[in-house]
Amino acid sequence: MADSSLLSVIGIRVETTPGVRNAPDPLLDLITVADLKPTIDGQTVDIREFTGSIHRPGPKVVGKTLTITGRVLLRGPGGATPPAADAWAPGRIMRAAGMSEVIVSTAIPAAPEAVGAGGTTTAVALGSTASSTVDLYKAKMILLSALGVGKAGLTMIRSNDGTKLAQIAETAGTALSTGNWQLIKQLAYVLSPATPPTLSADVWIGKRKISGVGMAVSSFKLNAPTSGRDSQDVPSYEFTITGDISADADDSSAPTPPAGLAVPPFRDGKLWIANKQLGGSSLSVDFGAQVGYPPNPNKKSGNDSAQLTETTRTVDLTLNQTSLTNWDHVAAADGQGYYPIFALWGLGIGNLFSLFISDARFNYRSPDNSGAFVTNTGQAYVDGVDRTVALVIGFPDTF
Amino acid sequence: MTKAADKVPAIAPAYPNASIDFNQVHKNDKAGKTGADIFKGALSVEAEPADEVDTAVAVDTTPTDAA
Repeated sequence: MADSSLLSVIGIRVETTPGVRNAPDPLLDLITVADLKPTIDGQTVDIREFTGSIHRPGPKVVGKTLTITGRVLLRGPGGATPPAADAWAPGRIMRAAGMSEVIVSTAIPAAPEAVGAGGTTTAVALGSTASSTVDLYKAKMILLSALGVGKAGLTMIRSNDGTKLAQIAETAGTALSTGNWQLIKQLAYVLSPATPPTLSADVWIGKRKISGVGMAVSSFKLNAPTSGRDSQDVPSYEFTITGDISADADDSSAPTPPAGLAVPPFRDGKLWIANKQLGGSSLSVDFGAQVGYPPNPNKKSGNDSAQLTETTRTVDLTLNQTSLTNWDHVAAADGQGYYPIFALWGLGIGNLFSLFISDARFNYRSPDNSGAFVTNTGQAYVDGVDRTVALVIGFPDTF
Repeated sequence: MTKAADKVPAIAPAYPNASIDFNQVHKNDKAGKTGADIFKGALSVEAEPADEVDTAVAVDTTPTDAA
C-alpha cells in the first residue's frame, strides 16, 4: 500500500547545546503544521575531471542537508493560564527565529489598579504599584478598562518611562485618566538581541521518519490576513528550518499531533497603524533570516551546526486608502520616525493574539487601483532589536 | 542632596533568548535589582553559545621567558 501524504507530522525540541540532538517526544513535542515539506538536498561538487572523451563525469556527492518548511496556523494553547516554560511547542520555532519566550503567569498587579493622573489619549500613567524602570513593560499586553470591556480593553505597551507613563499602541477616545490597568496573564514571543537556540526535529512522511539536528531558522514570516467576505485566510507563521540529518529510517507509526483549538480569524479585533485605526487586508512581518554553516572538518557533516547569522525585519501592509488628513503616511516616510503597529484578534481566553511592532519606520506607500477598492501598499522596517516585534497570546480573566 | 526628581531611572536590560518568568523579573525589579540581575531566577532553557569548544586545540600558555 502506498504511503499517504497526509501522514506527515513534525516534532520539535530546542537543543540545549547547539548541534547536540535533543530527541522530540512523539507525544509531547508535536506541532500541527500545514504545508509540511521536508527536503533532502545532496551536496555536490563538480570535479571537472578529464575522461579522455567529450563526456564529463557527474558531480561528486559529498554530503546532505535537511530543510523543512511549513506553516503553523496560529491557535493558542487555551486554558486559563499560560503553559509552563518551553511547553507550547509552536513557540520553539519562534525562539529559534530569535525571539524570547516571556510568561506572565499571574496578572500584574493581582487585581486591576487605578491608573494615575496625567494620562493622554495615547499614554497612560500606571498606578502606584507599577515599576518606574524604563521600558520594563515594553511589549506587554495591558488591560485598560477605559478602552472597553473584554478584548476591547486590551492593548499593547510601546514603552514606559521613569515616571510610570506608558505609551500605548492605539488612541483612546478620551484621555486615559480614569479606570484601571493590569498586565494580564500572557505568553509572549518577543524579539531578542541574543543568540537563538538550534532545534532538533523529527519529521514523519508516510512510513518514513527523518531526524534533523542542529537546525536553524532560515526563513520566518508572521502573517495576519484579514478574514472577511472576500478574503478567507487565517493568521499563521511560515517557517523554514535547515540543518543536518541525524537519522533516516522506516517508521510505520507516525504519531498524531494534537487537534487543538479553532484557529481564530483576524476579524472582530483591532488594527492600529501609527496610532490610527485603519482597515486593510494584510499585515505580515518577514524576518529575512540568513543561515550560515561554519566549516569544521572535525564534524561528520564538515561543518558546525547551522547558525542564524542575520535577520532584516520587514513589515508588509496592505491598507485601504485613507485620507492623508487621517493618516499622513507620506509625512511618516518623509520624517523616517518610528511608529507602532498593533493587531489583535481572538476567539477566547488563551486563544487571543496580538501581533505588535513597537517601532516601525515607514517606506513610501503606493496607491493600488487594481482591485475593487483603492488600497495602498508598502513596507515598514524594524531597526530595533529588543522587544520591537512581539506575538502575544492573552489570558484575560474575561473575554 | 539629590531630589527624587533628579534620580536617573533604571533601564530594563535587553532580553536574553530564553524562557523568561516575567513575574520573577517584576519581583526582582521591585526588590531593587537592576541590569542583568533583574533576570535572576527568571530564566530557563537559555541557549548556550555555538559549539566550538570540543574542537579547540589546547594552547600551552606557560611563559617561556620566566627567570
